[in-house]
Parts: sequence; C-alpha cells; structure tokens
Amino acid sequence: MKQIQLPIAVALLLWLGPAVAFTQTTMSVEVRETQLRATPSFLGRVDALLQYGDQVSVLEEAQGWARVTHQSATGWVHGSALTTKRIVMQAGDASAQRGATGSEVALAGRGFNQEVEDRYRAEQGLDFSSVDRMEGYGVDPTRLAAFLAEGELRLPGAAQ
Amino acid sequence: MNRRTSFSRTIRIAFIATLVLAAIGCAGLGSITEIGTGVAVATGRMTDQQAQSLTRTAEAVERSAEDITPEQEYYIGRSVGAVILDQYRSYDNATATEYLNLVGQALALASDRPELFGGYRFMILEADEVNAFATPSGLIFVSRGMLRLTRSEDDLAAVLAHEIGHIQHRHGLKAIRTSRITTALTSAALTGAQFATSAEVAELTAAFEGSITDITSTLINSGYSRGAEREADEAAVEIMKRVGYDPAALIRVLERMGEGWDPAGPGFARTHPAPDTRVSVVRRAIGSYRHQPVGVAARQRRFDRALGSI
Repeated sequence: MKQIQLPIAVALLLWLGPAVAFTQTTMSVEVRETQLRATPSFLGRVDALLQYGDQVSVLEEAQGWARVTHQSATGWVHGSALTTKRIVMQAGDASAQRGATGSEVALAGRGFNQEVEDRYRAEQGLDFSSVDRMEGYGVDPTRLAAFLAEGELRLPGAAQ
Repeated sequence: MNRRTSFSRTIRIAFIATLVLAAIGCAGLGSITEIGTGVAVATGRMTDQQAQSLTRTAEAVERSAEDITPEQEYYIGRSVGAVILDQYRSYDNATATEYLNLVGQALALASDRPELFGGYRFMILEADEVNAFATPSGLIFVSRGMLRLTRSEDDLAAVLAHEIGHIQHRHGLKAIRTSRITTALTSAALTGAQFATSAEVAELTAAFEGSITDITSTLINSGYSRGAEREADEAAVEIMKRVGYDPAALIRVLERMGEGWDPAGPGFARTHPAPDTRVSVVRRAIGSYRHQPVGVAARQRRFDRALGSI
C-alpha cells in the first residue's frame, strides 16, 4: 500500500505546486486609502500607503489580515480593505466596455457618486458642512497608541 | 506513525488542491479565499478559528462588493449623515469629541470590519433624548442624553460598539429596497461611457433619494429588526472583549436605559427592543468570559475629564 502511496503523493505534490501559487490571488484595494504594515495589526509599523484601486498579490492570510506585495513592497493589509474584484478607475477602460459582469469588476466613481450627491443635495436643500467637518475627526495613530496604552487596552494582532 | 500521518495529510492537501484547480476552471475568484483558507488549515498554517475569522471577513467583503461597493456606501452614508444633522444639531465640544473619537476608533479597529471607504467618525448630538445612529459609511452619532447614561469609558464603549456592530453587519444598507440597488448597480455596471447621460443621473438620483429615505426612516422611526439588534449587541460584546473593555458595561447601560423606558417617546425606546430582552442576549454573548479589570482608574480619570459634565 505504502509503495503505491509514495509515487502518488510525489505526483500530487508536483501537481500542488501551481495550486499553491494560485493562492497568491490578485486583489484590489476598495477603500480610499489603506496602509501596508510590517505586522498584521493596526499598531504595526506603516511601510507604504495603498490607494483605491491598487492591485496587490496575496501571499498568505492570517486572522483577517493578508500579507501582500504591491510593486516592490511587501506587508500586511486588513482583509476588509480588499476585494477580489478588479477596480476599474476609468469608465472607458477596455474591460468595462466589454461589458464585464459586476462579479468581476467594480467601476470606481460610477453609480452613487459625487455627481449624484451634488444633485440630491441641491434637490433637498441639505447642508453638508457638518458632515464635511465630521470627516475631519480622524485620529492620529500615535495619539491612539498612547491612548490605548494609558487605558491598558489593546488591539487584536501582533503589535511588534 | 508520523509517516503515515504525513501521507494522509499529503492526500488531503492534494484533494484540496483538486478543489482549487476545479475552482479555477468553473468558479469566479470569489470562492478562492475560502478554498485557500482550506489549504492553509490542511497544511497547518492556520487554525480553524483563524480560518473562520478570515472566511467571515472575505464573505463580508464579497457580499458588499456584489451589492454596493464601499465607495457607493460612502456616498449613501454621507447623505444619511446630512439628513440626521438636518434634524439634530451637533454638540461642539472639542475635548468631548476627541475623546469620543479615540474610544470609537479603538473599537472600530478591533471589529470585523475595520476598513471602510472613508473610515469611522463620531459626533455628539445636542439632544436630551436617549439616542444613537450609525450611517452605513461609518458616521456614528450619539446624543447627549445617551451619554448621560454612561458613567465610565467602558459604558461609553458599549454604546459605540453596538453602533459599530450595525455597520459591521451592514444593517443600514440592508434597509434599502432591492429595486433601488438594482437601479444603481445596473446603471453603474452597464454603462462604459465616460460620462453618464442626464437621464441616467436623474434615475440614479431618484434611486439614491429613495435609499436615503429607506435608511433614515429605519434609523429614526421604525428601527431595525430584533435579529439585527441582537447581532449588533453580540458584535459589541465581541469587540469589547478584544479591546479589553468590560462587556458587562453594556448590561449596566441597558439597565439604566430601562429605568426611563417609554416606547411612545422619541429615540431608542421607539426604535429598539426593550432593554430587558437585550440584557439576556448580552449575558449569553458574554458567556463564561472573565473580564480582567486593569487600567480602570486611568480610564475613569479621562472619562470624567472629557464627559463628566455632559
């Protein structure tokens, strides 16, 4: 039995090579901006910034984080910033014109966008100045790290 | 023995490799994360728990991508925020607002959905009623009346974590009628032209306006389903555990809320299940978890400083 198993296992291992390579899936950044970090944690050192639509190759995944490469940089990005769809930044892009389906491609800036918001705002006579002000309430990462430490709190993942 | 185990593992890996290859042939990229996760588990690179966590995140990303992209969610959320701020005034106290955003950001980053198109932001509303809202895009509003029910940072964390739970589960987006989403996605997906026609923009704006109304009427008048509230409470407990806040603070806030409960009045009492039914959900979610009370004094000092006179 073992004599048969060994060659089969070797053959299957050879076969597995491309399968493992395939798990290096290409994904796209689906948020406005995110960070490529040295460790899978929001307290991890930021090595590079990724922008909406940037494509990354996924090398491995752990606890909701993906270790990816983008251009010459490698690091960790949280999975909730990534999609398996390709984000098409220009509506005139060839794949959009081919009529690619929604499950493969997302068109940036299409559908509910700034133009629709502007029109809605004018029709409703709504004031967006408080919403704009609220968007400025971002938290400085260094301040947040100190705040967590002072309160003896933590974030999931490896900080170092 | 070891060798035998190694062989059976090889076969198992090969079997999963077959699944991966089959997936390349007949499925979209969407299923790859799940299968890739299976490979990682079989090869021992990932625990089952890690795999479940990853698969959950991947599914969440995929579902939203199929329906509404985070970019579209962002625009929906901004307008929902504008409607809320048309009905409520903001309470502008820089110290209190910064504190709210620090606590909120810590919780959001520990949630299953830390990354949104524009990120999480927190604002205090100038209102005595007990109320809190979350727009799909991550704008979270808490009334002064709600803040007066909180007596510690952990209490505040409980309120904010519940709202983050609604965002994590996309409850706001699920309140939108399917026909409107179809209109938006059809217009978006089928038109490859550089600029939309004015008729298309008009159609989209109508679907957009309807979507905003669906969400704001749910947030302000009808409330989410009991099931959605249970999901938000369960998410809140999990997030608080991860950060190190005492999840039992949610029970304490709910009990205080129950003291003045009037379903005919404005705010949470109109849109949420009675606190006592939520308390039992929260107790179950906490389970046998033992909270380690560290850093309590430092948290109390900064809470009193920022919100003591709210």
